[in-house]
Amino acid sequence: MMAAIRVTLTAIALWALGRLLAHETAVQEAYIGPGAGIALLGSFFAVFSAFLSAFFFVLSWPVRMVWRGLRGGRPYAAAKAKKVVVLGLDGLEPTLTEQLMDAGRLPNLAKLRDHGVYARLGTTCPPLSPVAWSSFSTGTNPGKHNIYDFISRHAPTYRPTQSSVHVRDSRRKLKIGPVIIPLSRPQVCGLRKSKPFWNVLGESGIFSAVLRVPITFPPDRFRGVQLSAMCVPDLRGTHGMFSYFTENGGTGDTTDGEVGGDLIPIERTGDTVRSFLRGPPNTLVAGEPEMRLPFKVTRGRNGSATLHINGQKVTLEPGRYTDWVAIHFRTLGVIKIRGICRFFLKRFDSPFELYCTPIQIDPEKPIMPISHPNNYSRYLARLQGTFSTLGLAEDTWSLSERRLDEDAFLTQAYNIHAEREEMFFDALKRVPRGVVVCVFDGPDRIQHMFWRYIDERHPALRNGDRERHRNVIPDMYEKMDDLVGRTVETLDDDTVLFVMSDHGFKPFRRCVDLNAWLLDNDYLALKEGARRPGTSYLADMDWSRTKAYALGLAGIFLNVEGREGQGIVPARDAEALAREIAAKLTGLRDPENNEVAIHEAMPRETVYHGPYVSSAPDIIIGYNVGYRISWDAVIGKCGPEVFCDNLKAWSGDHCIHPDLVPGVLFCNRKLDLTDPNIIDLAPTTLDLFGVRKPAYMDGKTLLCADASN
Amino acid sequence: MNRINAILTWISDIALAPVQSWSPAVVLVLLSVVAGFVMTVVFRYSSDQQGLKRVARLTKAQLMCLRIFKEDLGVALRCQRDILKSIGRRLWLSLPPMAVLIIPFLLILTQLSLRYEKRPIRPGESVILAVELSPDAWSDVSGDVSIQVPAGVVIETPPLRDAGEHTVYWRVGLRDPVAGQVIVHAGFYALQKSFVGVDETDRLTTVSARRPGSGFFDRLLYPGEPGFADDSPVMSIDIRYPARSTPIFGVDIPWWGTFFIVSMLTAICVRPFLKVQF
Repeated sequence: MMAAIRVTLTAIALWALGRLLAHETAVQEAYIGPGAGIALLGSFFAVFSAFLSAFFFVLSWPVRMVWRGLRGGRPYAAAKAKKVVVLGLDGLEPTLTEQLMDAGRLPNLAKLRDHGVYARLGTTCPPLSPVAWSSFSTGTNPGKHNIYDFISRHAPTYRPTQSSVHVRDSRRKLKIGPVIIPLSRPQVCGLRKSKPFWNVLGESGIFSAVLRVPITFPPDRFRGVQLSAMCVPDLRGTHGMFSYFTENGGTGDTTDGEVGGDLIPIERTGDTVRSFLRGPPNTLVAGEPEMRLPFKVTRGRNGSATLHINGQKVTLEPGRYTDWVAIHFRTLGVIKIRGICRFFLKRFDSPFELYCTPIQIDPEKPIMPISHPNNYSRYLARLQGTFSTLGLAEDTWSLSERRLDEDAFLTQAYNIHAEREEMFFDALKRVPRGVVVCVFDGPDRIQHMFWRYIDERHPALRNGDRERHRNVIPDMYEKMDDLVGRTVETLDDDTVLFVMSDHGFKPFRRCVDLNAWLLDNDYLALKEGARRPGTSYLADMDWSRTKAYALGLAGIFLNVEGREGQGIVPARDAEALAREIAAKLTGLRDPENNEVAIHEAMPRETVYHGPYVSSAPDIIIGYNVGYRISWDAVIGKCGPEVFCDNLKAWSGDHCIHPDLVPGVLFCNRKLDLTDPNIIDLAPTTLDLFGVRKPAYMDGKTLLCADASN
Repeated sequence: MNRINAILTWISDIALAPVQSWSPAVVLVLLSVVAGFVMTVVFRYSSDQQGLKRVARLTKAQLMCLRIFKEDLGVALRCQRDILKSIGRRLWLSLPPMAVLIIPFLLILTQLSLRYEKRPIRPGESVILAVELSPDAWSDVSGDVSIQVPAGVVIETPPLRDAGEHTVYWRVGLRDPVAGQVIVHAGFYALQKSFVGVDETDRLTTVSARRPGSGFFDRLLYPGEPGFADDSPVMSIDIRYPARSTPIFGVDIPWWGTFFIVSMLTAICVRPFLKVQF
């Protein structure tokens, strides 16, 4: 009806405008109000600037070509391909991929295999996304890029730190009463070392579009565009804290480290519910109090409700996500800290339940750079609408905590996937020559959370119903295959396509508490009276009697004298102690089923080489299939026993021995696939553009000797 | 249309009566502000705001695209093409509110035109009076056309006949202020046209420069006097009054320019409060 009215009105307007403009004295009367006037004027200016820039662009083209020729020669002259596309499918598991290809369920990947190549792709040690993707981008082993885990520790204080980024507060501040005015900007420093291959290509004049490759925050500066990914924090500076508003049950953090969520109480008055969103600390006020954004929810029709927040009204439909809602916190009443979030109403009636995603950096008005150039995220937001910017965008924790159910989590993951697809295809369109890299995290997150449905032995679903979600993972593989098919359709014969994963996936059935093992074997001591499991982040350790401790997913640190704040292991004995512990842990068996839990424990010197080996955990643990470090030990707690069942929804993992969890590599060109590894992709891409591999890169080119033919 | 014009002119005379003594420029600015506000509200509710927002964002994205992907000539030119497409879409989406606004806005503009386009002449000034005959009547009555002017007005020249335009011209001069009717005799017909001459031209005065013919648009655009009937030998009578000057801060711009700028500025100012996308 509305459409018909609009069409009719459009026709009337066209006729009337035509008649008026045809009238000799009526040009000024053709001004039809300020709305249309502004539309016309705005359009005129847009046309004008478009033509002006086109004119300038075309005129300056020869000059720029000559300038570029003088500066860097012809960047694509030695290229063996016009374009290279790397489609990263985080965590795609080779055994499943092969099974599904053989069953005919992945026709596009099978076609790629049949007409090009397919191989299992060696991964890094440990096979974690931040580590593996850093090796992918730099072509080096972790000893040269300095990323070993999601978290590390500040040795002098034992405090946990982010492994890839360090945010330094303003150095100089002016305090006027309760107000604090920063005189310098806070600095976000990336800790990944070495140079990613897109920087090397950029120096040779080759353009790259790098989308959501982990450990690209803060964004690299190079010839091209980049959207940061893993390690981009939420507005509160964490890896992602969801909010859950409820009138049922207790209130308090459900947080575990820097991920997790908040339970926030509500106040109900009749048909109105009131609560608040927790924001970042107000750094402009002494004491840095937490900023809060009040909101109310009023009852609507048919179970729906209306959210009133920041002067906006947002309809909440039960069981459905809202669109992204732009919100802001005010500091000192005038400065706005902007973010975006999505709401998911579970129930308005008592007990009220409302979920809110972590509040993410608004890509249109980012409070810190999340893209290169800065306006690239704004460009994308305007092109396709706002999108998730958080490093770990899919909120796995909310499913683990049962705040979202499986269906709601899947919807969220696929919404994010759809956003990513849109920007990926735009990049494919905008980059006719050069490199396009895009990583899709969905496969990783979905496998983490749904593996228990395809693993008959998984303790998290021992008596549960596997049937309902048994096909989630195979369906996801089909969706990725479809994405590959649509990608191939956009490519020409001069484009090289790599489809790859950084690691595979395995079940995570049993937890190994390394701190409990260290305690049992007298390498670790707890403070007098400390309970097990105790406090996070090593707070219970008695450092005067502790020789080794576990923190993070990768391994064990020694409490080395002179390095750790209260170290007791003399530096000269450290290597021997690491070998001793590694030897004891290698082949460690689970008493419950007599399975080997640890495939191999490795002193770091046997795994890495390079200038940053000293930052690595002293012992790297390669678990067997089915095992992983326990949830307690990851965050520096000491649990009650060494082995326990993993009962969380997070039921699949890849943090095991790298030999047991390779990734996949497909390519539409023939490659030399002798022991391919993720560190080979960077040198291979450089080789495809005729750019010499820098000496620091450990990888090798996978191109066959006759690739140019 | 004659009746509608008469009613509208009557209403606007009443509406403007309280500000009759004000400076015409001030009144024009005030009217522009009110019109800008009202039309913005109407635009908001008669347009596809979501569609306009989408297109506006897309256009901005495409302009940014030009800067970001400037490496490749083909990509840049495709961006230009996309920009033009978005602009076309934006204009297309502006058409429905235009249709809603076109009649009321036109009526407002014609009423303003009646007061701001021309000013009355002063004693000592002369104007051209033109009587356009229909092509059929030209051969029958062109030799028999004369005018009769009110007291205080003198006919300064004999009639000048332009056969090509089917028009007869006179120059008439004002001796004393007058607000009366010029009577045009054409054959057996005697037709009237208002004539206004005043001492003080800085006040807001209704000045009908043309008595229109029978055409719809002619009547729509010249609402000051009723249009001639279809069978009238006279198609229109024009008095070429001098243009009115309504300077704003000393800058002399046409009244419609002032209206255009002020109403648009008003719209831009109220836009954030009304949450309107143009």
